[in-house]
Amino acid sequence: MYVGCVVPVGRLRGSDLVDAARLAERYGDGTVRIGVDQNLTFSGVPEGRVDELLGEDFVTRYSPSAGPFTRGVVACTGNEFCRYAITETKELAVRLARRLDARLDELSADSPLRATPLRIHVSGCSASCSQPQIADVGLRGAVHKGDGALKEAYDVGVGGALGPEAGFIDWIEGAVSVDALDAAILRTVVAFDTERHPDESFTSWSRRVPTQALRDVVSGGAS
Amino acid sequence: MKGYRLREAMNSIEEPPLKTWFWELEAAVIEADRCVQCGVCVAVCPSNSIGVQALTNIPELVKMCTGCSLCWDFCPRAGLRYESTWLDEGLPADDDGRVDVATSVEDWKITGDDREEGLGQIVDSYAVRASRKVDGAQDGGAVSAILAGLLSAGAIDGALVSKPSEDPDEPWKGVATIARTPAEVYAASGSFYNQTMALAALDLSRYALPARPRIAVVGTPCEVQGLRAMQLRPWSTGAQRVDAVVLTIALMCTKSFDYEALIVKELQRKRGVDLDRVRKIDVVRGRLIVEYTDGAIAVDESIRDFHGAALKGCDECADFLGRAADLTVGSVGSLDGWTSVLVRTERGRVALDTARPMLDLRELDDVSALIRLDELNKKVADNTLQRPFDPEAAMFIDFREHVQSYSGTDRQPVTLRR
Repeated sequence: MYVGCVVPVGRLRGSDLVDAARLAERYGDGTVRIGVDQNLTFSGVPEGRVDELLGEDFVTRYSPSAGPFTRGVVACTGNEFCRYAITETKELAVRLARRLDARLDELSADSPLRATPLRIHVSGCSASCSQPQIADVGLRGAVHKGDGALKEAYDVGVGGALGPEAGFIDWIEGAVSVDALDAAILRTVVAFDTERHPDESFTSWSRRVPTQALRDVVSGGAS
Repeated sequence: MKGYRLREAMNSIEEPPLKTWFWELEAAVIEADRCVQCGVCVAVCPSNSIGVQALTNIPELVKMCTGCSLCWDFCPRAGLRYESTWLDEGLPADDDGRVDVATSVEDWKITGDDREEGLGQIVDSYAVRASRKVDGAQDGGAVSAILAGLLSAGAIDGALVSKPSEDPDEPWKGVATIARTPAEVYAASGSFYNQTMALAALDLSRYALPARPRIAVVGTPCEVQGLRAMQLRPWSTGAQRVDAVVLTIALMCTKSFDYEALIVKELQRKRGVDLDRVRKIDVVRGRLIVEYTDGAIAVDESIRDFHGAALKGCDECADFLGRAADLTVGSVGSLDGWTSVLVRTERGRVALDTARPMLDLRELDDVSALIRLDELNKKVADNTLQRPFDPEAAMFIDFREHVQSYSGTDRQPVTLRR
């Protein structure tokens, strides 16, 4: 068996890594895997010891049962440490995921998004460090200009995927101010939840809906 | 740009409306021959991805473009509505009998609006000269004396100025530098008529300066416009220390020139000027004058004869008087041997007061000369600026709006070959 821990945007303290190593030795095969989703997996855990592992402080802190947005969020380093990044990414990504998780009630009871992580990848620039091009919702650092004032912002894209539906994202709306991002994404997932065909994935829906209609959803009105 | 051609060929990713990259600046400004070589694009790029071509002195992409659009937004020939940077706190009443600009200028706005702004915000004006003669200085040597005074008083740590290139193959070419002592200021005194991509030189990392340096910038009006706009940003990024600029001094300017075209082709090759013997190049009362060290005049011709060597983009600027600056300086409006100084802000007034021991001051001689040349400059801009001119409009112009204004003109964006 394996146990995956959700580490939002991959940020761990050194002491956390020591704890993770200790748990891997105690419960698993001594291996800690770190994925491209910036989460962490203990492998080789005997089935009989899973519940005990789930009770450890570390696993409680980085809970496998975090909300679907927190589970799927990925962010590059951002302008805190990277010269290319236009925007701060890590804190924004975590804040965004938590706000969206807190509004799950606005989705239907049988929404697939309740169970399946929605992969929001936040990139501070046009490079691919956080792979926004293959995310369900990709965010790419930009600058919003309104009333002569500049604000940090993101281009918003939807519909990227790997696997059977592999394909790159389309960038739908440019330079959405960070203040408006969570509302824009919430509108998008609610629209998916409302308009989806039976068994239709987010990827399929976002590719079926015309770009302009998606743009209207993201921007909050006919543009 | 082979890498980007490959990127385009590999996928069909849709981009959002109005996404703007360096390519847009390249198409609409650089390759369209409208670049005024101010260096704003270099200074504003957060990732230091824009450099300067050594031979042509124009911007080029040297690293990945992140698509932030800032190079477009802050270019005074592209996204920056340069007139929106002009100071607009109103003109003082002429209560000391010095300059009655508010009533002496009729409608000047080239859009035909009836608002009167005259020479821009002015809180004081003088004819100024250095109290100690400055060798090689232009006009009254006022700028050198002001900067030396500020450095001596400890009011600034350095000044962005032009100095002669140290390359023996580039005689009479100005290059941007940070002068940190009065001696360095005096060594750079005198005017150059080529643009230097000056704002790119605000990368202060190669100079020994305090951690929070205070820099005065002497530049053309377009450089000051770009600085003023960048100082309005809510954040500071990139290598260039825009945040360090505490004083801007605009040089009165109707146009600047391409070094190769003016100095090498027009003066050296066409007119046989011996550049090694030149003491001074000056533009006075509409004439370009080249003087040798022995006092002989090598060239004395109408500046119109040299317009072919001017930067095409300069025609679109209606800011002869550097309205965004703290101080505006130039020869127009004062007798020979004096420099006209327009004080536009409290910072400018404090700077002039600080440098006062180095200066002789008296009343400005001829305000009407400033007004006449300013009006002439605006007419040129009116004929060449393809977009609406409006100081009240939003500061930024997007690429689509630019294309709408410039398409079908001789200044339209070119198609790039990637």
